[in-house]
Amino acid sequence: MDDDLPLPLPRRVPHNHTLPRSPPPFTLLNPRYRTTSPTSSEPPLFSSDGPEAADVTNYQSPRNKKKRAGPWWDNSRDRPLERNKKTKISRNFDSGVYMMSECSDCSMELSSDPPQPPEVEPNSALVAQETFAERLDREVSHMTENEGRLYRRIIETMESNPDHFYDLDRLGLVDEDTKYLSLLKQAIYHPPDASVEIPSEGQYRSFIPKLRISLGHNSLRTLPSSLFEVDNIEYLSLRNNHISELPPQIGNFTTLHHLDISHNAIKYLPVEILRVLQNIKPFLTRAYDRNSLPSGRTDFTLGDLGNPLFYPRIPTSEPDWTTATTSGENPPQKQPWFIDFKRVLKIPCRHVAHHKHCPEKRIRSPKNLHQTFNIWEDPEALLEDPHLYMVSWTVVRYYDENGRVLDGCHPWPDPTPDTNRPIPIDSMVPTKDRGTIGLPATWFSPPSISSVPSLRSACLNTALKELESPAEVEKYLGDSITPNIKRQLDCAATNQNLIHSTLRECHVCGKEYIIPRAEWLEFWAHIAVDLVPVMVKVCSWGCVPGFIRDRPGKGWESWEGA
Amino acid sequence: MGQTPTEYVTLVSNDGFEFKVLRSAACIAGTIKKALDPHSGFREVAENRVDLPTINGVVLEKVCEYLYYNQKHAESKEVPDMEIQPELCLELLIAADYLDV
Repeated sequence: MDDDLPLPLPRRVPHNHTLPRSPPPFTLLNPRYRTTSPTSSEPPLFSSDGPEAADVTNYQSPRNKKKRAGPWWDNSRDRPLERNKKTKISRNFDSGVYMMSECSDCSMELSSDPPQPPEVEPNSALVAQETFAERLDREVSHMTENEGRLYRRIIETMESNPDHFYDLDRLGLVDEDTKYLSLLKQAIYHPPDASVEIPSEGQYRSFIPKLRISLGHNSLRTLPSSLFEVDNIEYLSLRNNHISELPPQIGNFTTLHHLDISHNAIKYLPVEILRVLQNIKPFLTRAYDRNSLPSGRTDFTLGDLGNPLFYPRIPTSEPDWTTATTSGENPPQKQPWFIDFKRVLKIPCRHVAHHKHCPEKRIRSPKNLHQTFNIWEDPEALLEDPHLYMVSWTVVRYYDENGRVLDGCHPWPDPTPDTNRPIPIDSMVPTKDRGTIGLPATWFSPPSISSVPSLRSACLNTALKELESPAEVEKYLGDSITPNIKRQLDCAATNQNLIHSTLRECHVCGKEYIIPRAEWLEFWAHIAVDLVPVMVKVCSWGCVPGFIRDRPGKGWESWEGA
Repeated sequence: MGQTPTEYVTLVSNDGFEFKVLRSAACIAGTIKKALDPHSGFREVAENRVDLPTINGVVLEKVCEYLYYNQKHAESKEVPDMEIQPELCLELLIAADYLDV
């Protein structure tokens, strides 16, 4: 039985000891096994999924709740747990007000990019600063160079300057660059930082700032219209620009206390400036200095040096008018003439009924016209004294419908455009004792005193209100346009550039017009400013008030009927 | 010639509408005034009738309205605005410029 087929070797039963010994359940209690990591299983989702927590009996070892900083699927970065231990409160630089991220009341377009996650830890103020600058760069990149410079200067000032002094000098701005000035309406006082500042006096102040804006040394031709949206301007400097006329909206700046228009090409101010001046009330102390000028007794200043401003020329036949009676020992350099305020019949604002913009339009009984106070003899009376009054006025210049001066009008001085010297102009001064001084030899009256607008101007006004611009009216008219209509449309375009509106508003009746039919200068005195030349423009010959239109008589009696 | 000037004159538009207007009102328009000047010797003086071949009836009606409006308010201080339809204003402007009003 040797050749018996050998029986197959019995298969070796595998030894038990060659197999990796799976740890018995009880070894979990042994701390030696806690170093093994569960490599084959998925990363734990919840903090209780860890290997040490597999048993409910594990209540002795310390259990750290895992705090996850990232999203639940991203477990690659184990953030240090102590990151949240130190909570640092810092000011949020993008508060939504400066950078307009909340975009609630702002029409400015925001970039549509989704917000990029920050590259580094977002827990330091340095990063916020960087995104602030980056964001500014991105917003500026859509603008023209000058616009961008202005925008950047405004935003940076808002961010850093708690005094709200906006130094926008020397940015080379022209009128078209100034639309972002309206950003200033969003300026507020910085809210107090609760983590740093101790509540102190002024902590609960208003957020409304007092803005001080300086637009000097630019190339502006008019006051930017975007500024009209901004309230609370206290200081406005327009030094060294090319402004030739201030728009009537300057009257809305009733909070203004300093207006600097030095070194421009301004010949006169709009009537609406009287509204600003009216709000400037004088203040007096008991210790009134008898020898000083009344100016400087308010907190208002007007810088108007270096402009070809009109000033009244007093006739030489009255030599005592030109002596320096009000100025004491040191006549101020600015004032090229001196007027004897003691003898001027002051016509207070409330008595001059013809100005639409005077809030008190009524004329009281004619006796009141003579009621004047002598501030030199009775300084207390200044408190009752009209602090704003008309001193003198010029003859009226009448125009025909196309803006040509009517033949026979008293000539006005025509200054050469490039000089910035003040221009003398003949004017009439009413006095208490001598009647009106400075009457011209001849007197011109207009051919009619009708207030009805011509059909041409009525149609043009309608057309300009319906269509966008004078150029569009011209386009619609096509070949049928005549030289006269063209001339009126050109004037409307000039108005648009100077006063931001194609139509002007009559100072007497309030109707709209393109070309004034009559204008005259009035000189108003205010105790804060020496003398303001104000140009009154009206829409028709009939709008000229009687006492301006008619030749004054010898005394003031003839004036009473006005 | 030698005819006494009538109180009313007739303005005729290019589409045949006739408007009888007070002479004093019609003469507010400079062009009509010149045409009706008795010393000019124009045909219009004899006929008391002015043909306006560039102005249509709708516009001429508005012009007549303005002439009376102007005459009515010549002396008054507070002048109300005359209503001008926007669709009419450009044609009316050309007519007003032609009539010198």
